[in-house]
Amino acid sequence: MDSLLIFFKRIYVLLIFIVLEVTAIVFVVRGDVQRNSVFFTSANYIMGKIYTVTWHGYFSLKDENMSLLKHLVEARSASGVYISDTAKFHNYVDTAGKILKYRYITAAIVKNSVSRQNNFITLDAGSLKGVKEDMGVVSPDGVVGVVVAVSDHFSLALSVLNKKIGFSAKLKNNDFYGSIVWTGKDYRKAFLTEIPNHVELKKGDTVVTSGYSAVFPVGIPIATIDTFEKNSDDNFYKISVTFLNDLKSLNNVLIIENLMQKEQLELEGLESKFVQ
Amino acid sequence: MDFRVYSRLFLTYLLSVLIQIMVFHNINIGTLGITPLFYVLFILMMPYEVPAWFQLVLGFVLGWTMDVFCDTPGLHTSATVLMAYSRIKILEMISPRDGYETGMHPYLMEMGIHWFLKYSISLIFIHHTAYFMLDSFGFDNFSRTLLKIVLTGLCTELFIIFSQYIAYRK
Repeated sequence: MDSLLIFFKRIYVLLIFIVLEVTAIVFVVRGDVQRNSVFFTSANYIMGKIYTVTWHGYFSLKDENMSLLKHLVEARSASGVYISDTAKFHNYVDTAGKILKYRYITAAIVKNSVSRQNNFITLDAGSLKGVKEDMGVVSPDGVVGVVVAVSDHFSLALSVLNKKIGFSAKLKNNDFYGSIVWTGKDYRKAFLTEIPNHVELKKGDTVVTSGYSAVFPVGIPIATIDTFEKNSDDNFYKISVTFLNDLKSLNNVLIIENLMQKEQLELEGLESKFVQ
Repeated sequence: MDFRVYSRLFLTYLLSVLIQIMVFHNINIGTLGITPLFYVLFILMMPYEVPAWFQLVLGFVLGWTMDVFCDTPGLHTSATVLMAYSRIKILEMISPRDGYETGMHPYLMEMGIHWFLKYSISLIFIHHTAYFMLDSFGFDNFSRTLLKIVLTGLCTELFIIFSQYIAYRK
């Protein structure tokens, strides 16, 4: 009994180490942020507050203003025809012709990362502003990510810089579609997969969202083609693209709500009924 | 044991975490996106008289705090726990001839630059290796992971040494 105690005394530190290390590794293996577990993420209210008081947002205010101004001018000139007195249309539901499909919520980036294998972005708009899971996040320049978890005042988005999911995309000028997958190396580069060999490509062609995913509207720019080569072993190109967004210097974004997402997904869920 | 030791420990913990989040998380050097992991300062600066099991627990707590801030369940924790355990072993390996006395601290000014470099570099690289290997989860992109370990490690080491001259003077 004594020798057992002595033995135990000698290795209890090792035992504690093993227990703690295994606990930690189990969490790593179980994967990234679980849905609905905002407590363990920076979307947690207190954590979010701490991030909001850090200083990094202030340095880029000048550039940010210029960019906003630029997009304001663009929007004005593009939609000049549609400008009307909004007060008049308060509570007006447009049932004739087009139905409102997308709604936009503005948010500022509270925290961002580009250096990990799966990068997340914390935004300062949460469920109180109407943010829900599976909403798309875009900046004026292009696609940023998808919301994966929400708390009252903050939300957490999976950045396009991740190795888990690809974003459905298509070529702007001929509508062939594929998906954008991050290289995992450079925050500016990604691959465009599944574009068949016979399509004509040019360097600099724009890649936009396909609109198939029920998350993003069609036609939001993502990237431009950098290099491409034909693959001899399958019938698809190997295309390398450059993101239009500088994902490292983002500040303000728009969160897109697809008002018909539920309806579309429910209908698509019926697919399995017809293929048995 | 000593109330003063533990209040100081708590203060170091708070400062390491806050400085990491408010300053170092905003640093992103180059296309590799190098962010110094300065918060390991807390483990490096733990006094000798803290019992071994409690050092491991503190390592766990520190890692868990960082994981909550970085949305990385378990990632920082695995690295810090490993680092805390290695610290116990490394302190044994590089102990001075007369051993460590109570009241001594693992600070650069007290232990000398030679000892401190051996101590901090080995521990920082153990931590960073665990962190980046687990982050990339395997051996693809191995050369890139290796480069990241080395560069981030050097950055961290640099800031840790700065901290010694700024906050841990005699």
